[in-house]
Amino acid sequence: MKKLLNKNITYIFYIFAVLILVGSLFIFTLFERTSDEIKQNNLLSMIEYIDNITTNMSELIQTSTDNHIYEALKKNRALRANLQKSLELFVTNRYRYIYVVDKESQNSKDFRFLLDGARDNKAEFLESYTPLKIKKWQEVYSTKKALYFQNKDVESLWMTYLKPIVIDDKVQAIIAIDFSLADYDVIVKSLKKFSISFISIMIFSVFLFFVIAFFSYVDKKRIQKLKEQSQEIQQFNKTLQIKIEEEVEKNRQKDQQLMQQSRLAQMGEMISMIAHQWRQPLSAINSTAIAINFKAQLNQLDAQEMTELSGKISSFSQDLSRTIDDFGSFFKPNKEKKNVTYNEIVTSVLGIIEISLKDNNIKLIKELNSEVVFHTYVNELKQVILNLVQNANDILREREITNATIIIKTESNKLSISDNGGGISNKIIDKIFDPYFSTKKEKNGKGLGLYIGKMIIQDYCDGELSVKNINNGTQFIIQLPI
Amino acid sequence: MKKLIILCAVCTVMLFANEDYELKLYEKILPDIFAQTPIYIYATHEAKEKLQKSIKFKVVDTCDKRVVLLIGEDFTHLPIECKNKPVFATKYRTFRDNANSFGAFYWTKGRPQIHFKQKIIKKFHIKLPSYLRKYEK
Repeated sequence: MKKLLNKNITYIFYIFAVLILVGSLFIFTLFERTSDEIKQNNLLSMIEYIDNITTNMSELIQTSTDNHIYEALKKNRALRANLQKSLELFVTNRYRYIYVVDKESQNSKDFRFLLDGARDNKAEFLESYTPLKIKKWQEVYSTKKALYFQNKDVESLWMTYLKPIVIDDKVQAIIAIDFSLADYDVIVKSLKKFSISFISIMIFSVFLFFVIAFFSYVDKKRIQKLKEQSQEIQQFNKTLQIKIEEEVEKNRQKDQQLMQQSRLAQMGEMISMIAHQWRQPLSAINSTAIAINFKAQLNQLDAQEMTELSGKISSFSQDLSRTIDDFGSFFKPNKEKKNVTYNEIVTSVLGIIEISLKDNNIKLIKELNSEVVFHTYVNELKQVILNLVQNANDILREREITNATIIIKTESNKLSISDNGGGISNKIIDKIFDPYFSTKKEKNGKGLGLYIGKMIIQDYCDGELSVKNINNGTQFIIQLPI
Repeated sequence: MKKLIILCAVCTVMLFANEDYELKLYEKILPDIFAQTPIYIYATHEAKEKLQKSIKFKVVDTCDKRVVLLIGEDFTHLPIECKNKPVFATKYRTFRDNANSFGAFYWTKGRPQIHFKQKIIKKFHIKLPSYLRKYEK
């Protein structure tokens, strides 16, 4: 959604930029066209007005001279003066020069003044006159049509309008008016200001267009780069994930190997425990067998006694069998969690090791107060507790502690195993859970028991295994989640 | 007020432009007509001011032998020694009425006018350069 929005924003930017440019161009073109129309209409309006004036003048001159302009004006000085007075009436700042000229003959190049509306510096009657842009003047003679043109070379603010006086399809004279373009010029200048403003806006629009286009381009590049980087990171993450999985699998296999090693090591120790366990029943079986044999030789073995003795042998054999079952289940890893209490586990563990402890004159104190049922891997937990008790056993024997005691205490979710074996040196207490760290190297210690124990409690059972020195001894504490 | 200042400025520029135009014209045509420099000229007041600005002309106050021509508007009251000198008029009426006026340059309706009289040119044995002959009458 965000990506789509980003993409849309970029397109909106582009569309906005193009709209600004096209809109500005359209408005500018429209303005230029309107501006030309205004100028053209203004000029045409002026020309139309001047054409009306000159038409009236032409009619006045023709009427006054009875269509013989040159002859009448030459003869009649008063008529000339009157007509010039009439022309004078139209002379203003706007209509600067109003005069009538003709040519001596149709083929003549030069013009001559017939009438002049000027108030001072009045041209003489028949004064020779060579106008600028003489071809335009001659064109009026040839086409018999009025025309106007700008006198840029003389006074750029003025325009000349030439109106032919046509009599009998012949141009008899030309009425010339030089008029000011000041009003027109004001409009043109005003429009030019607008035009400059529009051009400025246009330039700004173009600039804005390029700025937007540039930033859109930069943004696009940035997004593309981010995308590439994101892809790289994703690829890297994938590779990393695979590596992590591989490493986790390796660690898992390593841990399994370690656990297997630990189990084997523990199994070796437990063979001696089995030996202790079996010694008493085997001795009892042996004693019973000797008794049977002895009584049989004395013919004192009756059926009842035989049944009794064989029953004892059977009972001792069952004890042996149960011992094997206990050991067998102990080394069989659980694949499923089961409900169990600390008491059940402790009882099971002590069933294996208790005789060994008695043989070593180690006093065992049980304070089993927990009734909490845990859902956990039972055999793995047994293995840990057995390892902790066995460690206590080892240290008490190794240090030849008199009045050696192991206290197993349970309360709520906490199980502690304490001994009075002198404790662990503070130098090594932080390392005892490290793999291959052992203080029993002389006795073939592998240094895996506590490492595996911590791993089982933390990783498998989601609990905690901790150690601390207590009065003249060590206390291991297991805490399982309820 | 602003418009008035602009108008004054335009008029001033045009005025000087015309004067400049006139002087340049004199500097071009008179040496071509009289084939000498400097040309000694007797001029009326208005023309005198303009001509004095050029190094090609020597404007004098008396009509001695060195004077080649007279330039100006009005020569009705000329010293006797100037009576037979060719005149270059700066006004139509002088050009029309003065018997020695062989040519003229003046402004009519804001347009420059240049004319020469063939008859007077011959009288003074003046030879017009070819580019001026189209103004001959």
